[in-house]
Amino acid sequence: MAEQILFYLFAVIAIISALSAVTRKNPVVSAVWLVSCMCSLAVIYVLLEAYFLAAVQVIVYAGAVLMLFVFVIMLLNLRTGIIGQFRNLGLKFMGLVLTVIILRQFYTAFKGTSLILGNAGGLEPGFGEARAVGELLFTRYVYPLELISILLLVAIVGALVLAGKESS
Amino acid sequence: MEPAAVQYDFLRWIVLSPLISCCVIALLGRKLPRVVTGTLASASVGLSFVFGLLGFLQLKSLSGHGEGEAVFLADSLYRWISVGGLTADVAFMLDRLSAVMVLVVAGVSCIIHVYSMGYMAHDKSYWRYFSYLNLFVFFMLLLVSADNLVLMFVGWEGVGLCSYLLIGFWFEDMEKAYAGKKAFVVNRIGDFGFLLAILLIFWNLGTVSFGGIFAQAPRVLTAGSGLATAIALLLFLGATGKSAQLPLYVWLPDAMAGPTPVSALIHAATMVTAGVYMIVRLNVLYLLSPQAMAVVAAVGALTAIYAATIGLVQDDIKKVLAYSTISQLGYMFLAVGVGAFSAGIFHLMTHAFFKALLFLGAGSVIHAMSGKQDIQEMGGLKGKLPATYWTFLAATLAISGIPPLSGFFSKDEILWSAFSSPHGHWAFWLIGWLAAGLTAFYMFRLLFLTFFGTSRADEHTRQHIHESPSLMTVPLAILAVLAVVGGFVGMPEALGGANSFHHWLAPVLASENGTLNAEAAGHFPEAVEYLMIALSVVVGLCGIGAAWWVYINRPGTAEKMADSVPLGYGLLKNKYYVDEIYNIFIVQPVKLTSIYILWKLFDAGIIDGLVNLSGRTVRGLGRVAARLENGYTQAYAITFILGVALLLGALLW
Amino acid sequence: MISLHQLLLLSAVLFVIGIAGFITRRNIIIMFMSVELMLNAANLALISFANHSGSMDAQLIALFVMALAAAEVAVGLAIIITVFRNKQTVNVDELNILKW
Repeated sequence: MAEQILFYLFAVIAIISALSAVTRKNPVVSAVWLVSCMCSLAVIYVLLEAYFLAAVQVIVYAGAVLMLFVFVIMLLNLRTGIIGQFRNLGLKFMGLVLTVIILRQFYTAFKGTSLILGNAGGLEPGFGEARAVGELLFTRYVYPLELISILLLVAIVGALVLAGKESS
Repeated sequence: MEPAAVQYDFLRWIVLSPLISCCVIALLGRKLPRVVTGTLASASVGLSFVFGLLGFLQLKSLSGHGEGEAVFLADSLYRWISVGGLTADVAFMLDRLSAVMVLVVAGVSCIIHVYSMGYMAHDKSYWRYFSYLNLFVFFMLLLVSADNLVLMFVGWEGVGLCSYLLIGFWFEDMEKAYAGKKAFVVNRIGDFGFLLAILLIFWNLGTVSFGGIFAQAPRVLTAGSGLATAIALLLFLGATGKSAQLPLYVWLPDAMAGPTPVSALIHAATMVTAGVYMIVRLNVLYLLSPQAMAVVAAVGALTAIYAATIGLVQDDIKKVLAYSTISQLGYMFLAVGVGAFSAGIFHLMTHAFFKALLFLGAGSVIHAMSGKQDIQEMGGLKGKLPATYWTFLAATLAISGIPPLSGFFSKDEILWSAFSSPHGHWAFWLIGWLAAGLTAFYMFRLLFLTFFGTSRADEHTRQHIHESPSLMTVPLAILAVLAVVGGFVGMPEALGGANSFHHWLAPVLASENGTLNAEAAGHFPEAVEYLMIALSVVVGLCGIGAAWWVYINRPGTAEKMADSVPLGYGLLKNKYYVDEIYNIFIVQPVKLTSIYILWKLFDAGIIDGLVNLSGRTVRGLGRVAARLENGYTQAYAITFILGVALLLGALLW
Repeated sequence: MISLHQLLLLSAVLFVIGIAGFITRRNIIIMFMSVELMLNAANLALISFANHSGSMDAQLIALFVMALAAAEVAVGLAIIITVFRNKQTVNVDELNILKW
C-alpha cells in the first residue's frame, strides 16, 4: 500500500516536472525541472527493485547530462527564451493533435495489460543490485559493453572535434 | 550415320592465337619496334596454321584417307548463351570441310602477313594495321571453325567489322572512309537475312548447333516446302552480301580503297568466300529446297558473266581484279547451286591461291609504280619486275583455266557439274563457259597492258620502278607454286586423277556428291566430259588469243572497238550505272525517309516529345513535393510523428 | 500494488510530453531536453518489463540506453555549440537552410 502511494506521488511529480520542463521559457529553469523529473523516476526505479539503475539515473542523468546542459546554456549565455514571431502555428497544432492521438493509441494498447509485477511469485534475491548487473555486464553483455565504451570514446573525440577550437 | 566427335584440345589455339597477338599489338604496338610487331603477327597466324595442320593430320589418321566414317574434332570452351531453349556454346569443330577452310585461311593469311611486313613497312600506322589484320584472322577462323550458327554469326559480323576497319584504314581520305562505310552498310542488308535465317532455324529446329541442324533438318523440314526455301534464301541473302553477289556486290569494287594486301586477304581469298563456305556447311538445308538451289545457281551464273563484262573495260588494276573476284565468286555459287559443293570449295581454295597472288602481284606493281593504279599508265614492266611478272603470269594462266594449272581443274569441275548435275542446266554451263572466255580475255588484257609493250608512265615514275624486296617476292613465289600445283588434289577421274579433294569432302556433304556424279556419268558418255574439258580449254585460249590480238598485235584496236559501239562501251565503263540506279532508287529514298520521317517527325517529335513530357511531369511532381522540404526541423519531426501514428494505428486496428 | 498497466501509462504520458516539447519549442536546447525525456520514458518501460519478467536483461538494455544518451548529449551539445558559433542563434526556425 505504501508502495502504491509512493508510486502515485512520484508519478504525479514526474508528470508535473516534465510538463514544466517543456513549457518554461528559460532553458535553465527547464533543466532544473528535468532534474526533478529524473529524480522522481529514480524513486520509481527503486520501487521496481532496479536499485543500481536508480543510482545511475541520478548520477548520470541528473548529475552529468543535465549538468552538461546547464553548462552549455551558460556557455552560450542564453538567459531568456527565443523572442520572435511564432512560425508554422497550424503545423504545430496538427502535431499536438497527433501527440494526443498517439497517447490515445498507447492507452488502447496498454489497456489489456493488468498484469501484476514481480514475476507473479516474487523476484530472486539480489535482483537489480550492482552485483547482479555487473555479473551480467561482464558475461553475457560483454561485447555490447565494449562496443558502448568505444562509442563513448568516439563521442568524446567527436565532441572535441566539433566544439574544439576551429582550426583554420 | 551420326558423326562421331573426338575431343581435341589444341583446336582453341587455332582461333585464339591471332586474338592474343592482336591484343598484344593493339596494347603495346605503339611501343614495339616494327620488326617485332610484324613478326609476332605473322608468327601467331603461322601458329594457327601449324595447329590447323596438326588437327588435319589427326582427322586424317582418325578417318582414313577416303570416304571413311564421318568424324570431327571438337573443342568446347564454355557455355555462352543459355536462354530458354536456346543454348550456344563457345565451341569449335574441325571436320573435313572446316579443316580445309582453316588450312586455306591460316595458310594464305600467314603468307599475306609476311608480304604485308614489306608492303606496309613505311606506313605510319603499322601496328594498327597488324592488329586489325590479326583480329580479322581471328574472326575468320572463328567463322570457319564454329560449331554453331550463333558463334559463326559472331565471326561473320567480326570479319565484316575488320573489313570495314581495313577498307577505311587510310581514313584521312574521305573517299576511303566512305568506301568502308559503304561496305559495312551493304553487308548489313545481307547480315539481316542471315540473322533472320538463324532465328527461323532456331524457331523450327530448336537448335543452332550444326550437329543438331544436320540431324533435325531432314526430319522437320519437308523437302521443297516454303519454310525450307525461306531459310535457304535468307541464308543466301546473307551470302550475297558477304560474298559480293548480285545485287549486293556494289561494295567490293569500292573496297579496293584498302591496302592491297587487305584486298588480297579479305576481299579475294578469305572473307568474301565465307558465303560459299556457309552454304556448303549448311548444304543439308539447301538440298531440302531445289528452288533455293536454282536461285543460288542462277544468281551465281549471272554474277559471273555480269562482273566479267564489267571487268573487260576497267582501267584500275585493282578494280579489274575486284570484278574478277566477283565473277569467280559467282562461279562458286554456281557450283554450290547445282549441288557440286565440293567443286565450289575446290574452286574457293584454288581461287584463294591465284587471286591472292594476283592481288599481291598487283600490290607489287603499285609499289613499283609509286602508288599508281591505272594500267593505261603502265606497260613494259616485264623486264623491270621479273619476279612479279612470272608469278603474275602463273596466276593469270591459272585463272584463265589453262591446264594443268589449278584454276583449270576447279573451273572445269564447276562447268562439268553445271552441265551434268541433276540440279544443273545447259544454260548455266553456257553462261559459265562464256564467262570463262571473258575471264581469260580481261586477265590477259591486264597482263599485256601492265607488263608488255612500252612504258606509258611519266618520267618521274619510270625512274623509280624497282623490284619489290624479298619479303614481298618470296610470298609471291610460294603462292605461285600453290597456284600452279594446287589443282592436282582435285584432278578428275576422267583425266586419270584420283580427285582426292572430292572424296575427302564427301562425308561432310549430305548430297553424297560422289553418287550424283556417278549417276551423271552414267547419263553422259565419257566422250561428252572430254569434249567439255576441251571446250573450256579452247574458250580460255580464245580469250587469250583475242587479248593478244587486240593489245599486242594490233594496238589501238581496243579504242576503235570502243568507238564503234559507244553505247555498249559506256554501259560497261560505268558498270551498268548500278551505283547510280541504287542511289536514285534506294539510297536517296532511304535518306529522305530517314531525315523527314524518322528524324524530324519520329525522333525529334515523338521520341523526344515523350522524353520531354516525362521530364516535365517529374519536374512538376518535384515542385509539389519540394514544398515538404521547407527546411523547418519541426515540420520534418511532425511528418515523422504522423508516420508513427499511422503505424501504431495499423498495428492496433 | 503497482500494476504494469499504470507504469506503462506513466511511461506513455512522459513520452508524449517529450514529443510535444520537441515539436513545439523553438529553442534547440529545450528540444534536446525533450529527447532526453523521451529516452527516460522508454527506460521506465524497460525497467517495468524487467520487473515483470523477473529477468535482468531489460535493465541492462536500459543501462546501455543511458550510456548511449550520454554519448548523444556530448556530440549533440557540441553540434549546438558549433551551430551557435556560426549562426549566433539556437532558434531552429532560423536553421532552415536544409531545403531545396
